[in-house]
Amino acid sequence: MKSVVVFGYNEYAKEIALNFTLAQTPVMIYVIDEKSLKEAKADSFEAALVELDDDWLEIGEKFDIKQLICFCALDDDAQNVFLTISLRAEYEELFIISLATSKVSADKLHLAGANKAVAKLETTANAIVECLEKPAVVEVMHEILYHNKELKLAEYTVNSESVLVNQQLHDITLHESFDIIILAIADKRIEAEFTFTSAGYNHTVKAGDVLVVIGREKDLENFEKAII
Amino acid sequence: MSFISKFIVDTAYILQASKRYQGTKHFFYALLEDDTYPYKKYFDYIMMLLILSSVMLLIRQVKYPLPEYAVFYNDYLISLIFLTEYSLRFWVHSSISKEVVHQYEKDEFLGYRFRLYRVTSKVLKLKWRYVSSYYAIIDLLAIMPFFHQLRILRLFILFRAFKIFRYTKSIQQFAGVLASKKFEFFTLMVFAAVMISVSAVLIYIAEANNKDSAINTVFEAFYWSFVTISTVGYGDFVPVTDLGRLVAMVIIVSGVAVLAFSTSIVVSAFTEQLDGIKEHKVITDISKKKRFYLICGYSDVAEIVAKRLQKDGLSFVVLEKDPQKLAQANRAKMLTVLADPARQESYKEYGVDLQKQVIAVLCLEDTDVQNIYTALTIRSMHPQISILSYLHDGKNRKKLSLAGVNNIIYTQELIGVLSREFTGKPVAFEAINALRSQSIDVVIKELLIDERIISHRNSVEDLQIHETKLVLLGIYRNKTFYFNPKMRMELQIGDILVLIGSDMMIEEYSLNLHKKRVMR
Repeated sequence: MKSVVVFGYNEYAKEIALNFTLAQTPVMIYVIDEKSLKEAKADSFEAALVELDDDWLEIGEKFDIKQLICFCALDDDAQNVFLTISLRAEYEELFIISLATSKVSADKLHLAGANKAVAKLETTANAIVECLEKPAVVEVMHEILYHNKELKLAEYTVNSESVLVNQQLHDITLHESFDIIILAIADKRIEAEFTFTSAGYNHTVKAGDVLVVIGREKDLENFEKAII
Repeated sequence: MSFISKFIVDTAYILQASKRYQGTKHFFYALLEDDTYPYKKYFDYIMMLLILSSVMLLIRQVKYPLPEYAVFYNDYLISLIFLTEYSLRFWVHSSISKEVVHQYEKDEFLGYRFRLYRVTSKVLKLKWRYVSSYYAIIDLLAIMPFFHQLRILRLFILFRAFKIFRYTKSIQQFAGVLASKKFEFFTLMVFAAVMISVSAVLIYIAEANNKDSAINTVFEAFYWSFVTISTVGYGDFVPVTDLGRLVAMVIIVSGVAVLAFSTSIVVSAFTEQLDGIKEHKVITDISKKKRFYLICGYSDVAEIVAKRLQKDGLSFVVLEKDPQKLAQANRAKMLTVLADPARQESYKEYGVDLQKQVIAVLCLEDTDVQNIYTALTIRSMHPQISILSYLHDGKNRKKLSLAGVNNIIYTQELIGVLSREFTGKPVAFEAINALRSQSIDVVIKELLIDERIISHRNSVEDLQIHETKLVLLGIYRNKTFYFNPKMRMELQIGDILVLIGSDMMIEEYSLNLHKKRVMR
C-alpha cells in the first residue's frame, strides 16, 4: 500500500496532506519546529519532530521505500535542497517531490535528486495566464483532473499480449467504439518522451508503452479490458 | 428689447440649437486643439511642411529672385491658409452664441433688461484672451507677409518658424519646463542686466576719451560688455586703460557665474519636471491602447505573468505604488504606472477606462489585504469587469469572493491537488502538464465557432476534424463540456472547440474553417 511522508507544515503541506487523506492514503508529517508540530496535530494529522541533519534511517524502518512518496515542503528553499539531497543519499529508490519558490530553485532540486520539483511562482503564473488566455480549457481540465465527475484521465501500460502491440498509433480504431480519446503514448524507456496522437507523426506501439487516455469512467473500464 | 438685440438673441438660440453648426465647430476644435483627436497630428504635419517650405523660400530669396508662382505661393497661398487657421482658432476659442444665451437667460431670470453692451464686453474680453495669447500673436505675425508691399513685413516670414512650436509637442514641453523656473531666470537676467549696464558705463568713462581705444560710443561700450559677459569675447573691441581692464576682469568673472547659474537652472528644471514628462508620456501611451489587461501590483508572481503575456504578444499595463518594484518592470520594457491600485484617483489620473479598455484586472499584490482592497476599489467603479486575484492565505478566500473577485488562484490548493494527481497517474499527468505549459510543440487550444463558420458548417461532421491530425477533445457550450462529441451534434454560435494539436496545424485549421466551403 502506498504511503506519503510530508516534510514541513505550512499551507502547501496542509493541502497536500489533505488531498492524500481524502484519497485514503496514509500520511505522516515530519516537522522541524514545535510550532508546526502543534499545528499539524491540531489538524489531526500524524506528526513527529525531526532534526534536519538526521540520518533518516527511521524512514526506512517505518515505511516500504518502494511504496513511499516523499514531499519536501519546508518553507526555505535551501532546507528543501538539503533535505532532498540527504534523502537521496540514503535511499536511491525513494520517490521525492520537492517544492521550490522559483524555477531556478526547482532546477537545483532536480540536481539534488528530486524526481519532481514544483516551482510555486511558475505554477501560479501558468495558472493565471491560462485562466486569461484559455478559460474554456481551464474549465475542461478542472473537470477532467480534479472534479472526479464522470470524465477521467487514465493511463494504461500495454503488455506483450495486448492487441495493440505492433499497431501504428494512427491505425488504432479500437478506442472509437468505446468513446474515449487517446491523448498520447509514452515510451517507458525514454523518460518523459511523449508521442501525442495529434502531433502528426506516427509511432508503433510496443509492449511497455503507456497509453494516456481520456474518457468516461465506464468506457475506460471496458477499454482497459479490451486492450489487455 | 431693441430690434438688434432681439435679432442677436434669436440668432444665438438658433446657433446653439443647430446640431450641424455645433458639430462643425466641434470638429474644427478637435482638429486644432484636441491632442487626443487622432487626425490632429496629420493636420500638424501639413502645417509644419508649409512652414518649412516657406522658410526655405525665404532663404533662397536672399540671393536669387524667386519665380512668380513661388512668390504667389509664399505671399498669398500660405498667408491665406494661415489666416484661415487663425480665424478658425479665433472662432473655436470661445462661443459667442453661448455667452449671449447665457446672459439673456440670466437677465430674464433676475428680471433685468437685456443689454447688448454687457454681453459685447464679455465676448470681447473672452476673444481678447485668445488674441493676446503668445501663440496667437505669433500666428498673426506669420500672416503679415501677406502685405508684402511693405518690405519690412517680409521679415515676418521668420515668425512662421516660431509657429512650428505650436505643432511640436517636445518643444512645447521644453518651453513648459523652462517656464517653471521663470523666477530664477528673471533674477539672473536682472543681475546680468545690472552687470552689463554698470560695466558699460564704467568702460565708456575709462575708454571713450582714450585715442588708442576702439570703444568710442555708448553703444560700443554696451556691445563690448555684452560680448564679454557672455564669455564669447570676439576681440573686436578691447580695453586699453588700466581701469578698463579692471572692469573687464570683474565682468569676466561674473560672466562665468551667470553662465554656470543658467545651466544649473535648466538642469534642475528638467530633473524636477522629469517625472511629470514621463507621466504625460504614460498617459498618452495608455490612451493609445485599445484593450489590455490591468496588472495591479508587481509581485514575483506578477513578474512571471507579465513576462508570459509579453511573450504571447498580449497587451497589459502594470500598476504599482512602489518605485523600486516598478523600476524592475520598466527595465523589462513594460508599460507601467506609478500609482496605488487601491485608489480610484489612480485610474482617473492616468485615463484608464475600465469599461472600454480593460479586458480583465489581475490583483497580484503581496498581501491579501491589498488584493481585497484593490478588488473592492475596482468593483465599486465597475460592477461587471472580470477580476482575477491571487490568494495568499486560504483563510481569506471568502473575503476575496465578497470583494467581488471572479477568479481566485490559490497555489497551495493547486499544488495539493496536483501532487495527488501526479503520484496517482504520473505519465498521464506529465502529458497534460506538457500540453498546458506550452513547453512542447503540441498545445491545447480553444477555437470559437463564430457566425462565419456556422454559415456553412452545421454539425460536428462538417468540421472535418478526421481529415486533420488534430484531436477534438470536446465542445464547451454554456459552461457544459461535451466530451468527444458525436458526428451529428449540431453546432451553435459561441461554441468553443477544445483542440489538441500542433500550434501551426490548429492555426491553419482555423483559417480553413473560416474560408473553405464544405466539400460534400
